[in-house]
Amino acid sequence: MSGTAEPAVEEITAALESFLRDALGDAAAPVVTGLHRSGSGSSRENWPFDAEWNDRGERARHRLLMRRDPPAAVVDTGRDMEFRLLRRLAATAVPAPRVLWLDDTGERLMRPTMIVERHPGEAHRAVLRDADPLGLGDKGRLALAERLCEVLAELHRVDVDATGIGEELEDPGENPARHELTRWERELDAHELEPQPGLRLAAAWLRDNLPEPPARTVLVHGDFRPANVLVHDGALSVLLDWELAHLGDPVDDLGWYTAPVYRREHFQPGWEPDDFLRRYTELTGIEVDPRALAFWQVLSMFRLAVIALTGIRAFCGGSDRPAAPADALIRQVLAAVPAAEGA
Amino acid sequence: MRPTPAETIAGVRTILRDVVEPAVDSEYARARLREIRAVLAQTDWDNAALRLRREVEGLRALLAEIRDWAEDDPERSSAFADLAGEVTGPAGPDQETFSALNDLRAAHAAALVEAADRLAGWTRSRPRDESARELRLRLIGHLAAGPPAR
Repeated sequence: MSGTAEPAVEEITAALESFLRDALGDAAAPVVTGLHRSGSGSSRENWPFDAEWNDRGERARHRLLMRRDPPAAVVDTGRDMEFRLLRRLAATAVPAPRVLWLDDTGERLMRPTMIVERHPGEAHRAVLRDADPLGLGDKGRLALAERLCEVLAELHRVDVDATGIGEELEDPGENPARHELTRWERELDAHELEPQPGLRLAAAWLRDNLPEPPARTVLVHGDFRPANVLVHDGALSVLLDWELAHLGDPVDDLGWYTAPVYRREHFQPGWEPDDFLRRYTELTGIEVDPRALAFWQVLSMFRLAVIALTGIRAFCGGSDRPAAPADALIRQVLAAVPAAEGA
Repeated sequence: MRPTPAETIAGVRTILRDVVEPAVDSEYARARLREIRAVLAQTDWDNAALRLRREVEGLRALLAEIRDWAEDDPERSSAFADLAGEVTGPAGPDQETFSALNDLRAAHAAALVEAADRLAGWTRSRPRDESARELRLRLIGHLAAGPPAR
């Protein structure tokens, strides 16, 4: 933890109760119990807890989650942006977490923190695989895979102007592909510990093969995959992890979802990438250009590799999240380029 | 040599799983322990230095390929002339410590980044030079394949 002593759980609990008292009023008399740090979360620390307070004459219990910035985040995004985005999404059909409060500066809760409702369910990156870690059965896994496609379509159908989401997120300019590539090249500049010729060659290839801008800019989740959904009673209940959300090209999320590195996690016999894309087009009317998809698949893996290098820098700097060399992932980025050339 | 580095790490991973993890109460610490075990499994401990040496040799081969491509044409030769020293590089990967090899790898990687950047500029300014585009794809292919096997 970079040598900084962490405050005790009791101290954070007291800060949280004080924060809730200010948010709800003294009469609410909030009491926090069961605060602990969960094992999940790389860009934010997740601290589940329960809280009771008085509301209209009744004492009610709430299941909440404190999402806290770690000392060194793997992805550096403004939590205020994420908070405002999630607020706007509450008015849509997208199953997003319900956000309640934000301590953007960390003045009250010791680190920048947002408090959200804690939804029941479980997330598992291998949820669609044959190992079936959540016990959904073959039919259940296929239904979840199809539901994921529907949720992505729902997300891309959100009217970013009517909902005000367009005001909350950065304008990607004339070509979202150029914008995203520039963003992740900057991240690479900032975080690489040693020169990365493979990623630089990939970036140059990407720069020379930008797809045409999309007909319509959409809300891109940025990390849309089975690992980031909660499954409750066998069904998708909430889409999590919005740190990478941005305005952009819908094929951005499709490239991420269908990237070769995720192929075994996201697809199964009877639900192949072509099935996913066909269904997506049926739901959205968006025809997916194979060359654009190939571009976004390479950029997605480039982005993953840069995120891995960011984790390596944090680990070498003393973070408590162990990281192995990213060589194998970088080789996968490069292996996708010849395939994209032929797309 | 027994245990080999790989045997040591494998044994440590087993102890972490069978002895330490069941005794850890914190959900967060258990998750980190599982990550530690996974990270330890991702390195070829017995061959790390040998692999690094092969990487250095692979990077030198790529730099030589760029040099040969540049020297094939007077205009290219002139445009890439100041890279010649980098491409020729140090005498050879005869360093005896991991640290010295790693430094050499970083130096070669930096030279390749510079060459790749120059190559990108060349490709864009001379879109009809198919050989530059092909060279870039060959470099990408070599790096995707990993260091050459002995």
